[in-house]
Amino acid sequence: MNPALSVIIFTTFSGLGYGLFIWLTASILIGTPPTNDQSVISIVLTFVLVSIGLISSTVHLGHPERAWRAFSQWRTSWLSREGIMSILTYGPMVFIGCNIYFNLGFDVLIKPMAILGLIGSIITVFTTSMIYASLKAIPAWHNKWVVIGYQAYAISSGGVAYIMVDGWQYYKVVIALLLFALLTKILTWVYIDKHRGQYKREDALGLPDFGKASPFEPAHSQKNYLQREMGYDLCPKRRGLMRWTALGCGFILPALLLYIGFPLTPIITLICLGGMMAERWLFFAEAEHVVRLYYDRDSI
Amino acid sequence: MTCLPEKTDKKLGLLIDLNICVGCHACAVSCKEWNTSGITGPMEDLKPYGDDPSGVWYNRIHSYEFKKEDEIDRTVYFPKSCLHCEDAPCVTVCPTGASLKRSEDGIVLVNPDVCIGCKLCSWACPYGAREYDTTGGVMQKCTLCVDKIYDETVSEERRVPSCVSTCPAGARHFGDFADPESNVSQLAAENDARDLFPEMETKPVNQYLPPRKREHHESKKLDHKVSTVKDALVKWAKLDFTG
Amino acid sequence: MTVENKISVKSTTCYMCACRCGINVHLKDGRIKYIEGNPDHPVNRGVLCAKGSAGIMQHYSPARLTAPLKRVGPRGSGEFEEISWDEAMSIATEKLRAVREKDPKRFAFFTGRDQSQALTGWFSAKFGTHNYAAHGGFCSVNMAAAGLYTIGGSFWEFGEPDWDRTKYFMMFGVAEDHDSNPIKKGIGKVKSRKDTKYISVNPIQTGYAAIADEWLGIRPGTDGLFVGALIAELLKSEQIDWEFLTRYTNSPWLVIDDPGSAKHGLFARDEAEKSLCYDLEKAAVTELIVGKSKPALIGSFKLSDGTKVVPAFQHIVEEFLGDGYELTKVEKETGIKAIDIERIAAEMAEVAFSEEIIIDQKWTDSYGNEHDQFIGRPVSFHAMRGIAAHKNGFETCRMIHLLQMLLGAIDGPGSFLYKPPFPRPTPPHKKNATASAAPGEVCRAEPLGFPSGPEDLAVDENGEPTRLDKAFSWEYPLAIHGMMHMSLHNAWAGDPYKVDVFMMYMANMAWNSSMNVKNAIKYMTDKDADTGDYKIPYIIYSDAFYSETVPYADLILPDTTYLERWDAISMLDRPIGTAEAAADSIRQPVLEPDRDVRPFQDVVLDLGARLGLPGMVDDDGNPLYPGGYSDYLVNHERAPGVGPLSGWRGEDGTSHGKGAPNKNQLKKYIENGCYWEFELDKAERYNRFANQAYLKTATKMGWMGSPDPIVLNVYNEMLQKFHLAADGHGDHQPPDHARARIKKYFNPVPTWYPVQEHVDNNSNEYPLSALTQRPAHMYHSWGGQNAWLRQLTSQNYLYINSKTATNQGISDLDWVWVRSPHGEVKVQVKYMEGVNPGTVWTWNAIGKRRGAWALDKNSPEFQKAFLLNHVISENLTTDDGEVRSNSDPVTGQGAWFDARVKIERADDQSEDLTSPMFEPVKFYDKHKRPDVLSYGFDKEQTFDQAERSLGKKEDL
Ligand SMILES: Nc1nc2c(c(=O)[nH]1)N[C@H]1C(S)=C(S)[C@@H](COP(=O)(O)OP(=O)(O)OC[C@H]3O[C@@H](n4cnc5c(=O)[nH]c(N)nc54)[C@H](O)[C@@H]3O)O[C@H]1N2
Ligand SMILES: Nc1nc2c(c(=O)[nH]1)N[C@H]1C(S)=C(S)[C@@H](COP(=O)(O)OP(=O)(O)OC[C@H]3O[C@@H](n4cnc5c(=O)[nH]c(N)nc54)[C@H](O)[C@@H]3O)O[C@H]1N2
Ligand code: SF4
Ligand code: SF4
Ligand code: SF4
Ligand code: SF4
Ligand code: SF4
Ligand SMILES: [Mo]
Repeated sequence: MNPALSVIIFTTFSGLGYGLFIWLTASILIGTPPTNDQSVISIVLTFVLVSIGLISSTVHLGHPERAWRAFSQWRTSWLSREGIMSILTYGPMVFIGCNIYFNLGFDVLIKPMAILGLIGSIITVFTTSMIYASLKAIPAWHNKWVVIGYQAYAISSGGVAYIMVDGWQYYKVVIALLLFALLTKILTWVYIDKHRGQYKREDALGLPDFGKASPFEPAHSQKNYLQREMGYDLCPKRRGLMRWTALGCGFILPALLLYIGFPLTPIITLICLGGMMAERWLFFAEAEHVVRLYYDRDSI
Repeated sequence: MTCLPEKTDKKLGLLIDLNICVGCHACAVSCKEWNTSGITGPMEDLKPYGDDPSGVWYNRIHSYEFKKEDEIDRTVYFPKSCLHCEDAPCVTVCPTGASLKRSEDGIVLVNPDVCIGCKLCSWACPYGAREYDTTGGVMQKCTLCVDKIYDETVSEERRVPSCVSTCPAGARHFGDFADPESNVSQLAAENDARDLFPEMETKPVNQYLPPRKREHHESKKLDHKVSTVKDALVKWAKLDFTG
Repeated sequence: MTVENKISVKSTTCYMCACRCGINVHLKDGRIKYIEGNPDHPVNRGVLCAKGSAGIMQHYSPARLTAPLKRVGPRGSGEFEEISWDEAMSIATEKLRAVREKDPKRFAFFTGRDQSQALTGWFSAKFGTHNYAAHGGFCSVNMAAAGLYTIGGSFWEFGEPDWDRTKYFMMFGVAEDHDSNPIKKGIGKVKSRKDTKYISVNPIQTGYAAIADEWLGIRPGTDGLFVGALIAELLKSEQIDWEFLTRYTNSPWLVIDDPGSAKHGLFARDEAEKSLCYDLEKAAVTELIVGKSKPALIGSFKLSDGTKVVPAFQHIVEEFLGDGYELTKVEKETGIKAIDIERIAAEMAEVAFSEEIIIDQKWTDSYGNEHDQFIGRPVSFHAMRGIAAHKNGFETCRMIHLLQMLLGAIDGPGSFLYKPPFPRPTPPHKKNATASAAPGEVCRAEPLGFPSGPEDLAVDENGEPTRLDKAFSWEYPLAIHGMMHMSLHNAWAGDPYKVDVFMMYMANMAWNSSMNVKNAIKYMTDKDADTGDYKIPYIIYSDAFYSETVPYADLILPDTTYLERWDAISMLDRPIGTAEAAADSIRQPVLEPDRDVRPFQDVVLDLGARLGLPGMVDDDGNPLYPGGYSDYLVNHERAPGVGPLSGWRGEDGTSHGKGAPNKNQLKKYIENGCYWEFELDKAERYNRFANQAYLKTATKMGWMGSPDPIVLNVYNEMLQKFHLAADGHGDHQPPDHARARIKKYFNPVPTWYPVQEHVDNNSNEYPLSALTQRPAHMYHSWGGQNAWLRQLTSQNYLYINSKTATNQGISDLDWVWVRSPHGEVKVQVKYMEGVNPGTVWTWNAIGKRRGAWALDKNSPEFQKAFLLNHVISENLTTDDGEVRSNSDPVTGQGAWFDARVKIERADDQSEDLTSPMFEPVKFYDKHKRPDVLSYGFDKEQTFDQAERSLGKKEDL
């Protein structure tokens, strides 16, 4: 799939945002809330990250002015659900933030709101992952690892950001989560690599019994929308580089820096976000759509 | 809308006979000329006179060479457009309801007045049947010529999709797959019709008839009655061949 | 809905190619909304090909010429000045008047995809020049000539297999053919019947060949051997329709066997010029009376004067049972396995003789014998340029016809069927002009026609050509379609003489219709060292678009598009119709031109009137057809009662075929969907070469001069006349340089010989045959300007068998040089399996010249696509050491497919550019070229509205 910047930003920024919010709400719930200032900073950060994500996913639409229509099909569409959940999750987020900042005094509602915020964030990240995981036509996405991974990356990168805001209280947990996320990423790749080639061109053509099919004349001389959108060619060298970047910046380096107590936590967060973006770039670039079987792939 | 109808009254669709298709692209161009001013048109062309001409097509003609051991390789032409799937993932993923499957006839359409152009449906379709219109900012796809097949101003036999009425070889058939008596159901039943990519579990309505298997040629030889000029001149000399 | 109310539908005839399908053009607000096939039209019955549907984009092409042009820069630069029609017409008139007054033959008129040859040929004759031809000479004249001189009809579009009934169909060398849609419809039918077998003989397995039940990937140029081997198999096993042969062919006719005499090889005839046979019952040589005589097919007999004679059939036996078609040799040369040849012969015989089709229908043959049935042998054949475009094509095609005759599979149910006005006498009774006229006079015959012996050649007293292109000369005696491919060369070389004005119409001679583009350009731009003038002094050209040839003309007469003019697809020209019905059709303007352009036919008539040509002006010198072509179509009479259009003749419009002009004729055509169809009676549908009722109808309709039966030629006496002349007999003698060729290539019985390049290049210097095919969705060069069609193919590759390529270390998509003895071209290769290993091929005419067709300068058509023409040449050194045309020695057919090449991987793979790359011509910028085209956009329409109104048209 073509790794478009808009979707990369959408998923990584909102993942980081919801991850951060998960940490904040969880801290509130287990009784280790950060200071008011820290909470407000977390919430503003969450708000900004999630909003950048949403905006970036909206502006690339053909008709951003009709984006509201996307809330209507929650019964079947994970994208619609994601939209609804992200809007709903703004509720607790804004509530907690305002309550603290403006000192509104609805403190009894903080915990219930934190519960809602926590669940909302997890569900939102889940719906995001399901947008991809529900697509059978893209085998690299159509599996549980995408769901597990999205949560793991959100929570671990959110954890890094939380350290930046809240301090080093949970840094060991975050390191553990980063390593867990690393593991899921590796297992995801193992899964993808193992399942590569499960669909054959002959299946796509409905002619598995006619021997081996190879493309003869393309339908059109120049590339069309489908090839531009779904025909991304990732060269193995690039793949290797990006995989190491993703692993290194997304998980290993942040874990290491946290481990040695590197003091500039915003830098760690940025490195982690960079790693997440590399991971997401790969997420798209590595995922092959089965439509390519009609074009240039023998199997996917 | 995004919910698939539990059942459609009809299952209108195409039956494409790969045994007959010669890959002439007539259906693809006819589709373009009808639909560019049709219900979901225009179908844009980018750089139509430029260095990289491309555009939206609802129907594209691919071709493949099949290689089987001990057989001469064969070329197969393969027209592909929307299959109007019963379990259409392109419909259920759509967040706006722009992508819809009609309950009366099963036609899958995109409402360009509602579509936000998120492209998700084109990712969901395993067949590459959806193409994005950059100028209109909406998704487009085969309409099964819904604005032609119900047009009562044309004679009944011409009330078929443009690609069907135009196909010079007669490789395309249109009809109701829900009706076992229909032309398409019958042809499908008699000819080992295929689903494309059954693994995708989309239950395509459109069906494909496979190329005719090339019979194994048994060697056969005529009995020679004569073998040289001399034989023939002797044997046939003065024979009356008028019966 | 109101939208539909604004749509009007007009019928006319497609001209996105020469197939001539009927179309209905839907117009909305003065723009074309949709073009569909006319469901009733005899040619296409409602279907339309890709080109036909893309007519919209052709009509609005930015390459459309907008006004007459006068050259101001050097030839080839594309520098023009727009002038008025008045000025253009006076320039043309003055130029032509001067030629006509001096020497009319110095006006050469060559037309390409001309569908009005009945007009253009007639114009030339009236002008007084016989230097006229259309593209047939480099196209498929081998098929036409072989057919018309053998069976009085031919493949091409003059006949068709009985698609509804045939049970065994074999097609040779066809990618598209002129009958594009009818063939596709037909193959579709054949393939829908499980008990019908379809075999494709073609080095390449694409298109029609792809869906064949059996594909024979034959080595190019060797089909004659394959067919000969089938013939031998059938003869040896006596699987022959003896009755058909004795009745309808000249098999029993007695041939004089008197080597050395002036009559050797000619038919023996009695005083009344009747052919003779040896009657077995009477045991005597007698007049052959079909149905009564019991003629011998084999034996040696004596005429009363003692001359030895043998039945013609004996010559067939001698040729085909000889060792020329011995199976192991055939297998080696053709690449088709001997066991397959044996099997196919057996299958064919089985279908022909055990699965015959009988139609109970009384009919009477031309000899008065009554029959209760038509008997059909449902084996059918079709063939086109894969046979034609080789230097042995005439013979190969004759051989296929011979095979048909032996099987009795001509014009019977299930076999090949003629389309009226065919069959015609072998050859048709229309003589070619042998010379141009004296100044101010008209030619005695139309330029093109059918020689029936050496006396009809267009040669001077020394036996040298009188025509510019040397058609009908001793070098190419049966060049019945002329030899357009030689015209530029010869005009440049002044061989046989120079011309003053060279006029072309609808022919892209500076590009894809020349065998040798580089030289074609040179011929048009070379100047005479002495005078400084161009060697071809004045070039007039009519095109509708800015093609590669436009920049080379001095005067451009811009034509309309096919949707803006009147046209006729006339019975006098290349007829349409089906086996069951004669038909002709018209084009009507469905849109007004929005540019300063004129239909070329109007221009021709106007030119004729300005020149005062007989037939184009009345006695007072006023134009006879002031209304232009539509006026001419209705009122012109070629012979009394015979005009361009056959339908609704007679003042009241009730006669068909012949009749007085009818002023409402065009209206009648339009009311009938722009065509006229005349269905034959059921008793007139088969065996038409000898079907009394049919032949009477044909005579009445004006298709034939008399209802005499047409005898099919297994043995061609006329070819023997040429042979005899070359042997030194007769008044008409070839020049010595042509003698050996005539002796070698003119034989009464079809024979196979290898084409010269294959003999020359057996050293493996040039080991591969190089072919082109027409893509179904492009028409030569003119499809490439089409916004829709060019998306389908804007780059072509050289397809090569993957094994051949890997043997040479060439990878898929590598750039390679294709080299022949004549030139080279750099191309990108693509692997393919379904191609004969000794053959490479590409799609025809995808490559374009930079600057032409109003396309962006970096278009793939310029950068990566290529023409194979660069490695072909119109001239060759022939086996007799002379430089002659690369053409069939009998018919002058251009031998495009004899090209032999070698391929070498290019050193620089990164460049991504084809070569040769000619200087760009000046870009044509008369029209806006959108970056995004949203054709048909209707901003009023909403989806909901539209969807809600589906099928509910009561508010209409
Ligand atoms: N390598 C190779 N070359 C070949 C062949 C091959 O097999 N291989 N085949 C040969 C054969 S058989 C043929 S017939 C030729 C065909 O080659 P050409 O006869 O050159 O045919 P086109 O390129 O179709 O078109 C000729 C011109 O007609 C113009 N034209 C189109 N419509 C109109 C109109 O309405 N009015 C006027 N006045 N002009 C119009 C086009 O713009 C174009 O310039 O190519 C030959 N060239
Ligand atoms: N779509 C489209 N239709 C056209 C045209 C067009 O440009 N486009 N052009 C029109 C014109 S002008 C013409 S002349 C006709 C020509 O129509 P076709 O006769 O179909 O001509 P080609 O496309 O040249 O195809 C020739 C075929 O012969 C095969 N062949 C070559 N050599 C041999 C051989 O030695 N033996 C055998 N058995 N096969 C061989 C080639 O592989 C190819 O398939 O098409 C007409 N129709
Ligand atoms: S029009 Fe018919 S024959 Fe041509 S590509 Fe389409 S389906 Fe195949
Ligand atoms: S073919 Fe693709 S676009 Fe059409 S219904 Fe099926 S999934 Fe949807
Ligand atoms: S692109 Fe349009 S039709 Fe497709 S899913 Fe998005 S909104 Fe629905
Ligand atoms: S049914 Fe209509 S929209 Fe669909 S491919 Fe055919 S012509 Fe195009
Ligand atoms: S075959 Fe196609 S281009 Fe040719 S006349 Fe028919 S519809 Fe037109
Ligand atoms: Mo041609």
